Amino acid sequence: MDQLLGVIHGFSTVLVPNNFLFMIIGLLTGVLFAAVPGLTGTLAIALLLPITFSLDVETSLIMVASIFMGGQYGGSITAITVNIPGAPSAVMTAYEGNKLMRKGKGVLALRHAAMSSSIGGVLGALMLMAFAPAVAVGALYVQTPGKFALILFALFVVIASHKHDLFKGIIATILGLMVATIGIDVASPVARQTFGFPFLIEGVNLMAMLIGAFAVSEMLLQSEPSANDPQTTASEKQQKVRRRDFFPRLENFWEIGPFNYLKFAVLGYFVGVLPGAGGSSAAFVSYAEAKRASKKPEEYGNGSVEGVAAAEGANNAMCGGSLVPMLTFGIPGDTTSAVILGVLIINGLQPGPQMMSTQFDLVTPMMAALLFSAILIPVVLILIGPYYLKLVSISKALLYATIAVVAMVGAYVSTFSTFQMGTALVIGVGAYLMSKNGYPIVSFLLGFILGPDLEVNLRRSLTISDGDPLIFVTSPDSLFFLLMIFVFGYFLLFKSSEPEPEVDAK
Amino acid sequence: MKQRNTSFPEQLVILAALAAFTGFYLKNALDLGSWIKYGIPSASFLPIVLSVLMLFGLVAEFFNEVRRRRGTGNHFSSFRFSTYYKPIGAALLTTGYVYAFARLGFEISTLLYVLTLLSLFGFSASTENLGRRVMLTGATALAITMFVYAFFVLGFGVQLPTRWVLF
Repeated sequence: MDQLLGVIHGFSTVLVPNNFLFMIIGLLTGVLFAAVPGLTGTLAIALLLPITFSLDVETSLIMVASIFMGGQYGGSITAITVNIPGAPSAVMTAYEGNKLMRKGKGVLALRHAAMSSSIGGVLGALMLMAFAPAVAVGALYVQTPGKFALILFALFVVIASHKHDLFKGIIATILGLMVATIGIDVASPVARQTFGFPFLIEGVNLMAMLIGAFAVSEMLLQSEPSANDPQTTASEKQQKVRRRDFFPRLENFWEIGPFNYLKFAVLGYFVGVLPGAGGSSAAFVSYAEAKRASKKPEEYGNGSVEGVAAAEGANNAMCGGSLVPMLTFGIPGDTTSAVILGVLIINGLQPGPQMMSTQFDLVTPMMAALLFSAILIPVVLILIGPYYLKLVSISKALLYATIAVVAMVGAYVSTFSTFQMGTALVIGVGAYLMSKNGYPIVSFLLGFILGPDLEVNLRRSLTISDGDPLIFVTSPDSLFFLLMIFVFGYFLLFKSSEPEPEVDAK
Repeated sequence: MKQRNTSFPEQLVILAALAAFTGFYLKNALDLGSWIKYGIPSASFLPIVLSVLMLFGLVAEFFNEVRRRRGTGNHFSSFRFSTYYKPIGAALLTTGYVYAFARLGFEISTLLYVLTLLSLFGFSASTENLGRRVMLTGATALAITMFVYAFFVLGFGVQLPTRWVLF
């Protein structure tokens, strides 16, 4: 009953005019950022982090949730129109959707992408509302050694998801953990790892970390002479379309079928629950299953609307799934939910089972915003669909010069100190070099975010056991997660032979 | 993200930089004293463990890279400065911006930063008339500066180090 009341509160909060306005702004921002090659919904959230200080917590969360949903959908636009996946999760959409575009069926592909994203997003949000509180109740039974093992498991899954470059994943994760130890020790009043810089006693600011890792590194990456200029890639393929062409059609819905939509959403949701899996994995798994079960398998690879629907339905349902471990354990499922975790922490909230039981009302508006944003996706397509092709031809110089200034001023605003601007720059340069050389930034970021919790639970466990490390195998919850590491290790590293899809996007 | 086929020395530079950072980090951790005090881990415990794991990881990645290059028959090409001169320029400009931000104020420092950044990115490079190009870049830089000011100061009431009031 409390859960239902909380959900009703969430819906009523989103419908307050001010909150609804920020949801619309968030949704459009997410779509626009994801639609422009080189930008992502994650970057949009990172750039807007500083302004969350001046908003209510609920309003901030509503805005970031709608950016998340818009960002997942927006990636399909450039994927279909110019074969540049606006986000990594739109790779399969590009594979099928752009072939439809070349056959003159671009608007059909865009309609399917919007409809499937909308249905997937709604189902994902509903599953989040239904299951997250139950997971949170279960999470209350996880004790200190179990929490340590769970975080270790999450880091392991993130590392293993980059199995093509396992050592780089390990190095990036450890580097994130190392950066997290800079500042005051988590368990005693000792300043450590400051390298002689007094400013570092307060540690590396989360906002500077996020702005550096996403905005500054992207600006540096795009400044390379070889980086694609959207102006040149989009120019040839523009087509004249009318606004009414973008209206959703019932025949498109029945072409895919309610069972398939449900299947794509369930797959996307549960892939999203796994730490580190993210939208790309969700889209790929759903696409593979849709192809396997399809009545028209010959269309796959030649422009399949079913393939577009499978990928888009799953990556938007993933939004709800990836928030489950973030809200119930404080462990983000992907990069964007890691940034959303940052928004929660910056606003003084500590995600975990306690928050879900005592502050459930604070997060239900975010869940409701996911649902409303998903419903509004087809409306966004109708409103700005005709301008999509013009959008991708924005000057790169103009775009990244603006992003650079907003990012650096945003870093300043976090503590009103130019030191944080410098920190964001140093992290940005490091993240740029890492991503250029194949080191996964998501592992680095999760290492940084989860590092303090990992250390606190490790040291508390050893204090409880008087330094005996056997506590991690004698505690049932800890043993369970350690065994999960071996099980996942077996399947992710040794058993799986699926080729990883090449992502040619940011 | 697509894995780029970077040159070996570039990989080596990254590994060497990480090894140097780890060495410095480990020294700082060892300076904190014993990693176990009264039978339980102290403040230096995790930093020391992480340093050791990192060094193992770096050595493993080094041999992994050598093996991969031998396996694919790729030659060890040299560090390509042509790829990096613009990112280095952008990083230096940003360093200058951080330095000038509080000293010159938001308006002047941002205008100069955007102006130079636009030039670095080749804004309006297709415009043949030099005077027109300079005018266009200057006007765009001014517009971006005013937009960012309006976004933070007017939109969200944030105080920036200003010397003049733009609006």
